[in-house]
Amino acid sequence: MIDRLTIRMYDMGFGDCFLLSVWTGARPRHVLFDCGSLSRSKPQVAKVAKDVIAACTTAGGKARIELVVCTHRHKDHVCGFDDPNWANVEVGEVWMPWTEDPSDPDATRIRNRQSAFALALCSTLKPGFNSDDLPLAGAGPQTQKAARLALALNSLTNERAMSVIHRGFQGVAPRRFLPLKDKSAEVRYLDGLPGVRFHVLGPSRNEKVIAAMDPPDGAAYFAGSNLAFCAMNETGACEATWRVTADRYRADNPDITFSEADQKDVDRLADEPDGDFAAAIDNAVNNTSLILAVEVGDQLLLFPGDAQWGSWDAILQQPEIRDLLRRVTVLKVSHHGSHNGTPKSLVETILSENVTAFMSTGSVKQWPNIPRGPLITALSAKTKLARSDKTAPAGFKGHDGLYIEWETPVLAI
Amino acid sequence: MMQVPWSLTRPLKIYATDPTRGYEAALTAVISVEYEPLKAGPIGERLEVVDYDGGAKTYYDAVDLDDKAILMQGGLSPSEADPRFHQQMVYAVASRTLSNFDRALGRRINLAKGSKQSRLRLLPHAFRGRNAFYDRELHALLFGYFDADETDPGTNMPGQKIFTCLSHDIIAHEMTHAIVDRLRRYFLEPTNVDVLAFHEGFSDIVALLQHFSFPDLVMREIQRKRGDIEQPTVLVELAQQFGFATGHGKSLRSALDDPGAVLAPGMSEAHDRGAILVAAIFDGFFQTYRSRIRDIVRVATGGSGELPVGDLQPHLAKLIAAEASRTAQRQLEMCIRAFDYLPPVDVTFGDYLRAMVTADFELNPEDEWGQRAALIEGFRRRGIYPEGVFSLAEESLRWPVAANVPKISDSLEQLLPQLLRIEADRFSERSRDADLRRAEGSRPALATLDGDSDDLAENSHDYVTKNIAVALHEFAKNNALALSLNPDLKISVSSFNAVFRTASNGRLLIELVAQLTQLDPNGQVDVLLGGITTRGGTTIIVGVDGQVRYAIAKPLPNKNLPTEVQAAAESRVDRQRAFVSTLDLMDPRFPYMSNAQVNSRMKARMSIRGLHGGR
Repeated sequence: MIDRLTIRMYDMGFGDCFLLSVWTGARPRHVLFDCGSLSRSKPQVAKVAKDVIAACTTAGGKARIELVVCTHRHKDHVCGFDDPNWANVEVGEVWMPWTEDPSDPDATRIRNRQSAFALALCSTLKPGFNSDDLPLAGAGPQTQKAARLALALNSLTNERAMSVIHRGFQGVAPRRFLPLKDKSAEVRYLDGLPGVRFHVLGPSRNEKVIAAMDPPDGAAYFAGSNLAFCAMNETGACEATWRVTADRYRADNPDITFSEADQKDVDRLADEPDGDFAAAIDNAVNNTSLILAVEVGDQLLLFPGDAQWGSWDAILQQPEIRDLLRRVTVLKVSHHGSHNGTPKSLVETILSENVTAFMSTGSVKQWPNIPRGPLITALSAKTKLARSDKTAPAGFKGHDGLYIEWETPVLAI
Repeated sequence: MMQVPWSLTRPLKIYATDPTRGYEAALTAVISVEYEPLKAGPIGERLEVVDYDGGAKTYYDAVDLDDKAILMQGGLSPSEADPRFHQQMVYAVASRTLSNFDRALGRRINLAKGSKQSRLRLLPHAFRGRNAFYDRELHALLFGYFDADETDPGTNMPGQKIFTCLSHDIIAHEMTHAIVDRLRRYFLEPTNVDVLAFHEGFSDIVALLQHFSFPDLVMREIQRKRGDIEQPTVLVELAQQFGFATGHGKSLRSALDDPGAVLAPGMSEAHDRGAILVAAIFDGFFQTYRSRIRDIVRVATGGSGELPVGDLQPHLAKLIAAEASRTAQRQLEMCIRAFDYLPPVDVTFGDYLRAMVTADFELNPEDEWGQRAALIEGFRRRGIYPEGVFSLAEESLRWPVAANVPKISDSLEQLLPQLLRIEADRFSERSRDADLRRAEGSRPALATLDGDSDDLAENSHDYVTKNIAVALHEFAKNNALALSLNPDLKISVSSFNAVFRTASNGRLLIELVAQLTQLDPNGQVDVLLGGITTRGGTTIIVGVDGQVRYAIAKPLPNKNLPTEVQAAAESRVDRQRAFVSTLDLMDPRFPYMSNAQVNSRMKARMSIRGLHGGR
């Protein structure tokens, strides 16, 4: 019988790493949600991975995690798996969103589009970039450009980390890609975790959600986009024979109202990108987040990854899921406390009064609205909120700035 | 030699279907545009094509459509490679769209924005990118060009140049954005969920209906699908072929496919909502079309209505195509005409339905084609219900007639005839006789109130414009409460026009339409509104007798208003705040904005470019 559970929120800066342990007497069983950061250096992240592995190692020296959940492939959620030490950890099962399924053609299409888009974007923002670049972690200048590059790099496929998640760890942990086709709000169990029910809430496969996973226009966009334009500056719309100089044109058409200032404005419009592609691809990948509600006795723990509007919208439209969410006792705040990660209606009308909330976040100078002030106010008013970037509030235990831990008894129902 | 009379129109060739689709040879069409003398560009009175390529930083040789060699051929022949044809096509379609607005609105639309930007500029190759947009600051339509995908070119040659300026629908769509922005400058401010959706949906409606007015194209499609000429599928498919080169057309038209697509409460994305508006209008259009061709088919089949097997008889196809085009033209005019009956700010789809019903009723009380009824049915079927009406009966949908507003008198009474004269001079047909034509001179300009009002003094008619503005302002101030305006806040006269419309029974309907607007002084500091303040305003429709017929209002909260009007005004402000928050939720950029960007985020969202390219 599970009698208590603990949740460890590691301080990853702008990133996520949560260790859930369910205890039967003195024996814990572990579930790991993500391990990565966008704003911490590789050694800092490795330190966390090491601590996670230590926490999951028995006195006999055997490291075992019943379930590893990779909510989505963003660097700030997976880069910690790029570490040889994971090879010594035995894992029961690995769960990922259905978009990771290598044998699902829809999933493959989405992944390919997202990766190609991120790759094209990174090469445009910084030709010759290195995929291990950490523009927000180093001592480099903290500019908007660095932040945009960091965001683009975040969506780049983390080959080494993803290969650990797909094929690594000790043993032959089955990989599950969830939700299964044609299953809505499926309840799953795990042999290694008796007494724990997993409600798989998302990402939905409905058309709207899939659309929300699509980058603006796929990688092809860059061929036609003015972002990639610098490289092809020479080719204009029409063949060179039709070209005339500005002086000639103005002399031939003295009546034009199109002034030289107007011409400069067109130059500016032509050179600036159509939109913020880094934010767009970030949003697209976030919407692939695997959303799980973990039920243990009287506790219901909601782990939505970095789900954003498109994915939430699909979930909150289903009455049975809304009913389930009313019972939530623990909330992992999505997307580091951004406005788009937590629908207002979830906090205001769905969540009950007795919720403990965890927000894993790290302030990035260029993104002053993560975490979002009004969301923090709303959550603080309604929940017991712990933030990874602040000291542990009453009822939570801090540990050397490495993590914040919380414990609750589990009552059978 | 005796002089030959002038032609009132100029024939120009265009691509009728998108040349980049390549499923078969692109169809071309000859369209007649209003004749005006043109300089190289082409540069006319209201439109100016400037072929500047901001991507390659170069100009391209400008076409002179008045060149004899070109006049003799009825315009240049379609060519993807010749930029001069691109210039011609952009000019032709833009001019045609403008004429449709002139005609439906009963006046010559003024496209001047101050004295420096006296024409709308059209840039057929403005930038490299899969986009095309209207830019208010530049007072220009900018069309992008791009290379077909190297690896997945579809029907195109890999790497082939694709020009958005060669799509009739894209040109008409962007042109409509520009005209709408001139007619209603606050309709780019997303103050509720419908505003931008309306901008998008309406632009598509104009583009599509205008496209249906090419009878040859419609006839070809009708012959191809002979079995179901009564079914809307033929016309839907036709609608779907058009203008797919940019992504934004796709989702807008997708609702046409799905007869069950309705306006759901949570639907807040502009294109999704716009699609429903397009579908509602087209449902109405198809219903009218079906009833219009039923008799033709009966006559052609000896009363049975059952078509014989085999090819459709060419004459029958031609008759049906002509009827489809005629119905489309009438539908288009009905859609455009409604504009003068819209409130000046914060428009909703429901307002648009009410405006269409009222405007059409004023002109054609009989509704002999059943077009109004079909339209109301289309809106009902798509779940678009106006606020504050008791039923969808025509009488409930019409705007209420203005009550308790005194007649316009005093100084305005003297000024109105002068305005009428200027507008009449602008709008009336020019003589075809060369000598008379010379004697008539050019059309008078009309000073604009928006843009920079300092420019008013440079206009020869400015004294009329200025004095009418002053007189209207005085009138509005004296009757503020009756016009649902707040007497304690500044009232701006945003625009006024005299309009001339001919009813189906031959009557002439002359009206003065004016927009009066106000700004909520508290809104400017409200960060929740993201840089766009709350506005209120009233559109007034005045008869030639000086009687205010309609006062179509979106009031700001004001305790002197009747209780229910005040409640509606307050909920309108709350709605705006809630809508900004919804947009934030859907905007991927929002989390990563700096504080300055957050404070002006709604201003940034006003761009047509963002609307088209951000997907």
